[in-house]
Amino acid sequence: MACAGDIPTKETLAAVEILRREIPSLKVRVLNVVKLFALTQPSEHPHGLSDRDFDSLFTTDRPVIFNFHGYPWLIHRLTYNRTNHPNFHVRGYKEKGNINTPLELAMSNQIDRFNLVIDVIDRVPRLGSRAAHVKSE
Amino acid sequence: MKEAILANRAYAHEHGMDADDVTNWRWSAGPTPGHDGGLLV
Repeated sequence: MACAGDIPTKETLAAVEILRREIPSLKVRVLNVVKLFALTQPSEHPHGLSDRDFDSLFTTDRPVIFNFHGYPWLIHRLTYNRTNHPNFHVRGYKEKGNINTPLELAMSNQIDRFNLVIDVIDRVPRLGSRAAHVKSE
Repeated sequence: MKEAILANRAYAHEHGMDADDVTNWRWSAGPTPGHDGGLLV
């Protein structure tokens, strides 16, 4: 799980709490990105992480659910040539919302804790049907 | 989770605010019962 922004970070941590309660065997890593340019190559920006460092944090083959306060495509553009980019699934602002509560706004854009849990269950292959009941609860 | 989404939407619609357990949620550090605290790799 990765996150950037205050509300997405809070929702990500809340999702992880649910995951740890409901699926205790699942190992989860949380990365809070405070400098977005760390995602890009060091040749493109001085804050960019080397491929080695990036891979050690985001792995080379594990699903990454990235919860973001801005448009999702930005994260994809910053990470497009990273090894694990094909496994990146980014949630972010989809221009949904009106006069809503904070959680309603998050749910409308699918960056809330519940949709993140569903995303994890859908994208971790070995969970499969074992965690299907959690999705419906 | 789908039921939780519907329930929280209904609560927000009815009360005009999120439920207390959502608004006042705080991360509690430390191990969760049943979780070994292991890392991914």
